[in-house]
Amino acid sequence: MREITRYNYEEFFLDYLEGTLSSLQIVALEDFLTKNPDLKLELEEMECPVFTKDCVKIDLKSLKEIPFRESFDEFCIARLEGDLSVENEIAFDTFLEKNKSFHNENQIYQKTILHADNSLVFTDKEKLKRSSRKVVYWRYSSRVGVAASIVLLFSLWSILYQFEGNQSNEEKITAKVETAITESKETNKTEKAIDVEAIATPKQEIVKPEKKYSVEKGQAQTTDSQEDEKQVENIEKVFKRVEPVVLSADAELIALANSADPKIELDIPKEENTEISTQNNGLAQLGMSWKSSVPEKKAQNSVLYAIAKYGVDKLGEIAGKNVQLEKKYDSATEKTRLDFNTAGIGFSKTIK
Amino acid sequence: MNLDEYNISVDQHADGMFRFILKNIRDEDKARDIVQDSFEKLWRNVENVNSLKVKSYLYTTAYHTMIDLIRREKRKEDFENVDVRDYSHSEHYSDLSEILDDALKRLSEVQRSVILLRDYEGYSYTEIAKITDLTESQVKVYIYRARMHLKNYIGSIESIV
Repeated sequence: MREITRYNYEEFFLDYLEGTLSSLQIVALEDFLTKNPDLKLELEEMECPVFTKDCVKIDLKSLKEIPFRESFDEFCIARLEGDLSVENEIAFDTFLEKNKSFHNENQIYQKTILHADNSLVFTDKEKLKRSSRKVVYWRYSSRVGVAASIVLLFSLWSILYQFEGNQSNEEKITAKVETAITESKETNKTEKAIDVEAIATPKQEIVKPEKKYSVEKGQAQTTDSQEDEKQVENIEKVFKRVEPVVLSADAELIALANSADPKIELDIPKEENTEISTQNNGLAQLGMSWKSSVPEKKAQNSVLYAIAKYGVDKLGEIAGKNVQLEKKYDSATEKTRLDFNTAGIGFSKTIK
Repeated sequence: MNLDEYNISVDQHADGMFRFILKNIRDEDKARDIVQDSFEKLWRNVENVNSLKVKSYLYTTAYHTMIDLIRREKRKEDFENVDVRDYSHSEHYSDLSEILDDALKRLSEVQRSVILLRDYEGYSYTEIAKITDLTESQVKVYIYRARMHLKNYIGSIESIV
């Protein structure tokens, strides 16, 4: 038999009240109550009276009566709004007939119903009416218009691209080196300025055509004296100052004909090659030259792209449609694509 | 919804909308503008609006435009803050409609809108709830309060007269 404690006494109390405890358990419970007199009161409170049918006397008549007096306003409004059931409506009307004061008050509620003044009319109805579906036609035509605009923009873009493509893709090394030198000058003013322009431009005087330097070897292949050696050091300094990040990000080094590796095929027209070799004499003598992979037209293309995107966005806004023009770079194919998407129309173009 | 249905909706609902807005804001020009705006919006969305629901669309648009206008002008006046005894009775009412018109002015904008939609247009609680962005229970409560205020106002005027 389980011991009765202060933690489980409730279930014993309930069993005791229902008369399901055994005689031994009753003795144990009485003993527990003697030891815990404060719980005796709780047991007494748990003793619920048992109702018998005779005890309950309900006034059925009063239950049937609807509390019209107590909730008169609610019933008046509900009657007015048609929220009462048919039975309740009849009962409420009967109640009103019997009680004159309530009837008068209900009359006031009846007066709160608002009636529209039909003399008030909107006089400019004809102005509101439409004779044709301009909006709809415009919407259809706008889609075609958007598509046509995009095609035009692409055409313009391509023409400009080709036009610019005829010009040299290669930037003069002088410009790049000049920039780098200027930057290096700015960063370190104490450092002695180097006449890079003289080195890089064809009109250079310090580096003579017959003198060849090998940067890779790090040695000056010259027969001249210490002055020439100093020049080699200066050139090396210049290359050190030209940040590799800038070169790798913005430029692509291409070996020229006078480079160490003759197998490298140059994708440069001969005329241009000549021009570079003459203009980039300094680097050419070092056996190097470079062709910009970020020609000036790229910046112009960005401007064109921005204009095109703006135009497309505006057209989409006017048409009330989602029109997208996106430039995406695909690392797998190493190609940049322009995507145009709108409802029903979508095409893509690869950019060189 | 097609062009003909649109033009029919102008004939059917322009007057009612105008009355509804005019009773709310009591400014004929602005009421006219709101009605025009609502039909303009309907025309812009004419392809997407079901002709069976055009009335609800128009009233919803007009109601929200009106509420925006009221809020902009801060012409909010809550009836609950007005003491019935302070009403000016110097006016001589010729009939009940004038008393009601005056009482209507003193309702809050929401109470006024819901009771006008209920009485003028015969909208159900559910439809009013949709138009006014309220719950059905809120609509019931607003209508109940509006009726109480109108009844009290009419009662107080009648007792004085």
